[in-house]
Amino acid sequence: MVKLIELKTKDIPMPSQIINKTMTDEIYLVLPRDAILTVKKNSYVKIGSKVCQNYNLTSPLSGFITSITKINTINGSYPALKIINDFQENKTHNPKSIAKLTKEDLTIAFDYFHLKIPSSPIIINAIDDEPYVYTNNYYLLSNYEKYLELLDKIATIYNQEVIICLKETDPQTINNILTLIGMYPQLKLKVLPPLYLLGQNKILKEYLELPSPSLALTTSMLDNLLSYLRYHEESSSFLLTIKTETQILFVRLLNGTPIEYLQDILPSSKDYLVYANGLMQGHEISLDNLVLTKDINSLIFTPKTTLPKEGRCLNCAACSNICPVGLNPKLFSNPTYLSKARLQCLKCNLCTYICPAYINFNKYLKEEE
Amino acid sequence: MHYSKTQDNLFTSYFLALIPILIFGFYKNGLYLYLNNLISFKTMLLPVYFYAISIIIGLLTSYILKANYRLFILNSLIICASISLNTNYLIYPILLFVLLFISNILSQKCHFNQNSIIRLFLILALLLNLYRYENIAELTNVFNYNLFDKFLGFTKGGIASTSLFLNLSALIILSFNKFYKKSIALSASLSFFIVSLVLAILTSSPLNIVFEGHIYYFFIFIASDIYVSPSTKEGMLIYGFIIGLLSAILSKYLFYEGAVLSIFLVSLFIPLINILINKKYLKSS
Repeated sequence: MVKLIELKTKDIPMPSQIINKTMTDEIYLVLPRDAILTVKKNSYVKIGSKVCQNYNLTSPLSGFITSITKINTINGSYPALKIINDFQENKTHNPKSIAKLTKEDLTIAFDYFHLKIPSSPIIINAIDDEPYVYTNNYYLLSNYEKYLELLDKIATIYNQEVIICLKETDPQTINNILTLIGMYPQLKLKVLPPLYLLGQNKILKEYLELPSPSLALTTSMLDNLLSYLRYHEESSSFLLTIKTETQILFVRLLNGTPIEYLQDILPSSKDYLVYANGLMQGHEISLDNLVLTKDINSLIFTPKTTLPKEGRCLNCAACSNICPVGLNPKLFSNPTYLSKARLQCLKCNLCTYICPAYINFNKYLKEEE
Repeated sequence: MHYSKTQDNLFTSYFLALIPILIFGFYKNGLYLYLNNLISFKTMLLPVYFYAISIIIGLLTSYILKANYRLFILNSLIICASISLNTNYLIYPILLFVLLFISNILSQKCHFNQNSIIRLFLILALLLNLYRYENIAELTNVFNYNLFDKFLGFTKGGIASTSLFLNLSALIILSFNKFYKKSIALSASLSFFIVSLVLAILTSSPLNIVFEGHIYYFFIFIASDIYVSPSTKEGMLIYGFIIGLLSAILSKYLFYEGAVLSIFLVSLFIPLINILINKKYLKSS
């Protein structure tokens, strides 16, 4: 059993609404570097049109492809198709009703996402690990009626219990789920303490003492699964938590939205350091020409401050004591140990978080990579 | 994102734990004796002089070495509380300055517990007077202290390190800090307690040594050094256990310095303990 701790955060009021920013004028559809395109410049694409031969890449909006350009994502620079929105919302498929889904539909979808066919209780992980990030929770909150209906269908078809896991600090979602869950006897709600790393499926299964082959889905995955079952394509939109000094916002965006489109709700990045995907496991990014893709679940703006210098190691063993997988980060400077440790390391950054001398253990892992 | 506590909080915890000990030292070796007309007003201030001069020397050394002044003040005070009241007050500051300076330079090249070696060499300043740890009341036995008084600290030893009660209170205060190496203090205290108890029973000697406050002071403040220790919890437990064991044996012959000598000797083997423990880590990974 791994050792888990709670990360202390400041209380910031949570909004009840999600800001919809899916009506963007243009998007950049990020292409893998070896993508073979099936469309040309000035081609017209519908929502869900395939644009690539060797990857299942579909257009999230209908409109004209105006150019192929290089853009910045949080993972580096990539080529992208610039598509201008015609706001016609032309789709390639009509949505399929959840009630009409068959076992075959589910098997195809599970196969598409490389998911195992459930043979033990299914876990729905709506827990966000990162402080100030509530994206997984808001996925569930934003569309809980449909998700519950889908989960009930899966539970009935595979005759398995579905356990929805939420943090006790998400009362709004808990209340909403409780109003409907009584209608679905095979669905269970599990309210868990706000412990760091429960958002990781492997850790959550260990915590719940469930067998490791159990199927565990995050809510963003569930969103994709629902979209695939209904429209035969992955969800074209995604949720993003934006945390500034004073408030938290939730925004629904299309995959490939340029950051400029959020200018009206974002603070000036000149005054802040911006972290993508959380303060613990995420990293600092530049917002210049950034295109927001599904790889990103949060943007956290923190005031620019000088980070404390690394001090002399106290040999206090706090890093090895806090490591959930029992590694000794003090030995990361040993290349043999580091190469072995990288296989076990969860990259949770707890060692750097706890170190009283501000030693950045993450640098060893990054160097190795 | 970082945990709210850092090494600065550890320094604060050490200072907080030391304050009652230092106040008691002044009361036991100064005020109490003065109120009973055993010493003069000037002699009453001797413990305060030692505290003040230690702070000044700590500050001065840190300034010259461009090092963390809080660490140097803390180390000077920890050492000061454990020296004899009869230490030569003119030689003490000079010797402390030289020892702090040299040990700091040496510690960058080899691994050892600095405070223990400084404390051992400070005996030189005591030898210039008489090698004696008793104050005037303890020497003449005017108060006839009982066992409970001794538990409170009214017994011979360092200026402020004799109170087992205050040392245990300090251990509790320090244990609230995540970065305090309580494994060392606890394992050393426990192994010392058991071994010295067994030795006392086997040799039919008095049990006094088992409850000597100044020995536990060394375990709580000097063995659990802020920087120098094994780097794993298992290593700390082994380190503390050996210190306690060796202290129980050496204290039979060196009542006042046995524990601190043990700490110094065992600290020389920290790299070996680390290698042994890390082998286990390398295998398990």
